[in-house]
Amino acid sequence: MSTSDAARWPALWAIARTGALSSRTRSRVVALGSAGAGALLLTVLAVLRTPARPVPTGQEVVVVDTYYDPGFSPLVTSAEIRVGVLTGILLVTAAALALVGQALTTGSVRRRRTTRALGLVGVTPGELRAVSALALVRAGLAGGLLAAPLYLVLWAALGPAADPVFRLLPAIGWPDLLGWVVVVLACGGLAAAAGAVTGTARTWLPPLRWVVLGLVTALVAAVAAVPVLGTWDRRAGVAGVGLVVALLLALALTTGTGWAYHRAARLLRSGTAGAVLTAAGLTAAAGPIGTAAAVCLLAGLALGVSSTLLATTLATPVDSVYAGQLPGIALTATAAGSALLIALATATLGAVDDLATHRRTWAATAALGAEPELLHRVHARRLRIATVVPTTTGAAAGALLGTAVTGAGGELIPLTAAVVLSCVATTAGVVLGLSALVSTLLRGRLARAVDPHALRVA
Amino acid sequence: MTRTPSSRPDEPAVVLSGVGYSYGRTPALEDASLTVAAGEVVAVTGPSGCGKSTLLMLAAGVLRAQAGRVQLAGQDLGSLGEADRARLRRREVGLVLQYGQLVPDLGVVDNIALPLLLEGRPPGDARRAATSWLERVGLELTGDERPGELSGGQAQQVAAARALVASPRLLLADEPTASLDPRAGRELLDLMVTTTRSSGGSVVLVSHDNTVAARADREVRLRAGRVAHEVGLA
Repeated sequence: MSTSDAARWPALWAIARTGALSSRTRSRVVALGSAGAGALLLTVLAVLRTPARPVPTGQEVVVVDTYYDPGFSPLVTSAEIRVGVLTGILLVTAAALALVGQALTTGSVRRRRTTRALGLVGVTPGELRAVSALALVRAGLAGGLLAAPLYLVLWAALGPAADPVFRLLPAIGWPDLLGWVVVVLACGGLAAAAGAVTGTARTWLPPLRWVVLGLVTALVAAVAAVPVLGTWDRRAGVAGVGLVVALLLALALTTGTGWAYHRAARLLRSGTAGAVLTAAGLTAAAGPIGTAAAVCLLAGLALGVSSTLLATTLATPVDSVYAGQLPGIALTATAAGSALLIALATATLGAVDDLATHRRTWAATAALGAEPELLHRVHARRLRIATVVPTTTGAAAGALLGTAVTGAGGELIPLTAAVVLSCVATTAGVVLGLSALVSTLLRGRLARAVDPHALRVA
Repeated sequence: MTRTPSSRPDEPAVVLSGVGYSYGRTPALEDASLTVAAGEVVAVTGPSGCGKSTLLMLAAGVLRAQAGRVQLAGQDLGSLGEADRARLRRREVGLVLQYGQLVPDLGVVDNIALPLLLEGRPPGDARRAATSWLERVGLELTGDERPGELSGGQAQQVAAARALVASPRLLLADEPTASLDPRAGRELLDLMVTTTRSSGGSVVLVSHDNTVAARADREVRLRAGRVAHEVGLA
């Protein structure tokens, strides 16, 4: 780098500090999301440190006898139940990371304008990336640092319980410290990388169809490999569950945007003013809507599976194969509920960003003669599409999957059917209510978005 | 669907009486008055920042006057709520803004059809009317193109088609031909004026361009937010 290049850095740093390339809200959400994900990862590492009874091998159905280590809850000492617990924690971690991803895309229109303007005065793409990375690295590092106190809060709740049966986490030790250092560095590094990627107008992404094809192939291969590798070895099955969950999340996140476009095309065919404006919004914010929908789908799926397992377990004799897993299933259901709340936060963030970045379109539509009530209905409908439809679909699929897994038949069929229906109806009702609440709370922002002053500048 | 005009045919299309408007502490219009008669074409001219666009937005009821009174189609806009002003606007007014007024994620035909869809026209009818207007403004497009794929001039032609599709009684156009070549600009201007006038409507054109002003019956010059003088051109 020449001296003249180096001389530009104070100016570039000054630009980074103005928030032109990363707003305060974006940085805060990135920091909070990273802190949450970091703390949950530290929890996962701690759970893995607790002594566990290994998963039995072989094809025979083994009654899961909960292994009581004198110091810990069977939730973490029984390897099979532990998988449920870890899946639940990782689900919430994935939701927190999706929220971070959503935050990273906010303000993209404003950022693109800024980077173009800076490019016009001679700032190189490399410098733009560096400035953008600088703007986010602080948020990432702050999130990583915050992960420790957040983990301590979790540890205080789950670690030092007087009764060992409720104790999920081991005592704080040097592995926690080491894990924290890794989390801080990873958060800072990933935030910087994300900043660099979002720092220029051109972001390279592989063609969607190849991503989808790759993920589907990987998913099919994983599902096919599990029984082949271990002739349905239970350990391979346990590993397979984790792999399938991870692949499902990746698949949902990858195809979410395409789904939003598909919904928009369907709405356009219906052709009413409300449908057409909803379709325009779905297209404009297909990425954030797709992300929110993907997390909602997975949260719904987890809710569906855990509700069915819970109901089946409660209805079967105490010495059955599922009885020992009851606390794990309950914890997974709680995790699924938490993931759903984070998914709604992700959808809300996308909706708020849409109002801020597309305010000119909102204002122009209002100027055309669209009443405020119609615009509110359009905005609420977009949010409903991003949340209610995927969550309910996920819950229905999860409930059916749960039924298939438990193999509930005979006298359990009416109970299972009732659980499936009530799970889907309750999930739909709750998400519908929360979505309506969010839309109502965003009315003020919508009013600001349709402010005709937005029409004055290009 | 037959549009029911809310105004009498001989009633002025819009009356602005001593209106004022400020953006924060910056005044845009002060004590400006203008009456546009039915069937009249008025050009509003003046230097940049003199309040031309603000006057247009006040006449359309997009902005609410902070001082004075605006009557659109015989109705006092100050007494109407936001929703009522929106309904009145879409029934009476066709609006062409300077830039960025098209919905970027809708195709050209859907953009043009939007005023009709907002009025509750069947989607098929609305799209047919929109396609016909696409041809009338001289655009050879499939109709599926997004605004981002159009040139500035094409976007202005689409905006004009959208303003005309619902046969407004008052057409308000802010620099409607600024991005068009002289010939295309003239043709579009002719189309806007003759179409609106043939149905008894009025036109207000905001422009720096003398050829646009020459197309009007009357020119109103603004200076520093006030009406400096009026010139009869017809």
